[in-house]
Amino acid sequence: MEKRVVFRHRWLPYALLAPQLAITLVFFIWPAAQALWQSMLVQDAFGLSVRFVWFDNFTYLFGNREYLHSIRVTAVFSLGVALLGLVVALLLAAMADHAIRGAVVYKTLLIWPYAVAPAIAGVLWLFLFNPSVGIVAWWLQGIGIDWNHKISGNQAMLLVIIAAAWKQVSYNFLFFLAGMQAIPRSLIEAAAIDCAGPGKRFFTIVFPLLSPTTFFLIVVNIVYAFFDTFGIIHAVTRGGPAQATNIMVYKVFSDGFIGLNLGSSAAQSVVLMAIVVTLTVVQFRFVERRVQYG
Amino acid sequence: MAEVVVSGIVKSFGKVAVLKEVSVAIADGEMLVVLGPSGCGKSTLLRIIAGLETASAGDVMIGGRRVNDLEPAERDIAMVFQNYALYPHMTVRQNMAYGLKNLGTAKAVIEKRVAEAAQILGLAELLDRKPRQLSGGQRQRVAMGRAIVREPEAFLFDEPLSNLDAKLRVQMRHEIKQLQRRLGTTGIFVTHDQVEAMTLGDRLLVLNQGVVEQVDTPIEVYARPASLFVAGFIGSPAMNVLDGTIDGDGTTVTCGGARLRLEHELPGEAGREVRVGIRPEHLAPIAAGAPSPDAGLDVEVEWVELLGADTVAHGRLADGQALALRRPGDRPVAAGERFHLTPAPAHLHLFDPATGRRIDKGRR
Repeated sequence: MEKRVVFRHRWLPYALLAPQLAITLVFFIWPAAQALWQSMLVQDAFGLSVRFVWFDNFTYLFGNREYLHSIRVTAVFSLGVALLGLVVALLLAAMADHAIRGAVVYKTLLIWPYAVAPAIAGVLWLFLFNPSVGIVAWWLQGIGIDWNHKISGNQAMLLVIIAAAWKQVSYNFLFFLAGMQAIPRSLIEAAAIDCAGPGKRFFTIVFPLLSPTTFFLIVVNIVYAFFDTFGIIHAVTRGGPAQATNIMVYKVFSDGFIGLNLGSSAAQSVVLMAIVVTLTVVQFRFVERRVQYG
Repeated sequence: MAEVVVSGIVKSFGKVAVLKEVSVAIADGEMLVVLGPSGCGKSTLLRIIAGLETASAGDVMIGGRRVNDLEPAERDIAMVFQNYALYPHMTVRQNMAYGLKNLGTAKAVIEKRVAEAAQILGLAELLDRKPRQLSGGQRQRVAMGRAIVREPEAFLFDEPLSNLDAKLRVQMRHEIKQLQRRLGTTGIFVTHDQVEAMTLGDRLLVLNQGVVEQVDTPIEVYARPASLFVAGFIGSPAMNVLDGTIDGDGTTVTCGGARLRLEHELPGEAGREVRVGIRPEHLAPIAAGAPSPDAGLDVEVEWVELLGADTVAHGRLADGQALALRRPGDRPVAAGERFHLTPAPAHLHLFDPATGRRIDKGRR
């Protein structure tokens, strides 16, 4: 049987696609093209003089210590967020998978953080860790840790990683839980007969079977940490102290809108664009094909 | 290799009792088949023995050791699942070695045992394949291999053949039987298929709604079913069951308008209502016109099933009760034909209508 829908009219399919095409064109393709064009320009803050400089902005960027530092910061941040988000989610999913009763309640409660806006999540954690009034900072003081993320770059990084990962845990949890529940019960039972330790069982049977889910989530989390964490950084550290949390996407904003270096900012956007394209390709190439069982 | 003893096992899910005081002792090296319709609790019983499910009451002993509180892995049993439950991310070799590896067995020993099992099961060429690259029969063999490399005290089989096609099922049935004999390992085999049960088991346990109906050798279960349920469940087509009454002197029973001689006298039972079971294959027609020693059952054939080797004729007695009889396939039977039938006294089974239990000489 023919499963495709066949349209009689020649214009109807185009008309049906038009709204989505228009949105893509206006909000994605056009700005992207503009960024590409702008990345090859140097202009003053008022836009009065514009000069075409080919790839000079990029050459400058990759020779710039601050930008290279930002790349390193981004790498630490995104790996931190992905790792923390995945490990915590996996732990929660394993426990929720175990508990049949109350699983629905768990699931609902654990999904809530995903609905919180990044900036709100940032402010929430900012309060908790506020050096003078935050409860967590106070606890840390109690066990002898002097918490002040406004001074310590490492602590600031830790704080934004926690805040960003917290928001992502619920998303990862859902995927892990679904993945675990898709593993046939008899496999887990066969493993129970073959192996006594629950921990070992988890790492030799459950975790390998979750590998397609895990790989997918790693990519999604890295993309999230790269692009969707602007609000958290902006609310919590503004890239500081001393550039310690100035991740690439935040630097695009601060160089462009605060520093008014539009050409460099556009070039940085283009670099990010290349990264997201690469990640998407990796995602489709590997997730869809390689990591599959059954 | 060990004796497996199950005593007084009760399992309830909430208010629903799935197993009601199930007890059975399985001798060392014996193959016990647990047979019953779906939902009778047979899989639950097996899972309780395996430790995958906890009994509400009762004990499981394996090799004289009470294993109630032990993890499945500590019970020294191996289980073959209905869908094989092979680890999809491991090769055949890894699948078979997994259990031994977790027990801390030496590498050389594992390799030797896996090689032996592969040899026995004809898997030598497939050791480096993943389960998804195997056919159903091969997967079944790997599941068997995974069980035998462990050299466990007992094998537990949970309907392992029901996912195979008919031809393969006969072959695997034979292989499992041979393998179990050869290794001498105690086996418990759960199935709803009576042919599997009859051919595989040293003894059968017939389970109905969580109650043990009968435990005996397959031939005994067929020849002397302990209850109406067993009588109806074993044998195809099912046993005919007629309403009857014991006659005055206790030597005959009247049913379906005939007076049938009993194998054993039942003195003092005159007038007792009974259910009379007769297998379709035990109804021999009396040649037309021949003088009959007993009054026989008169049946008019209504419809006929031609099975090739056999013909099953379904008909009605004068009083309207249904009756099936089995005839050799080379003797044609037509609808409307009349038979005069007499079962041998030894082939009459009497059951109590209230309890459904068998009535034997000297036992009520």
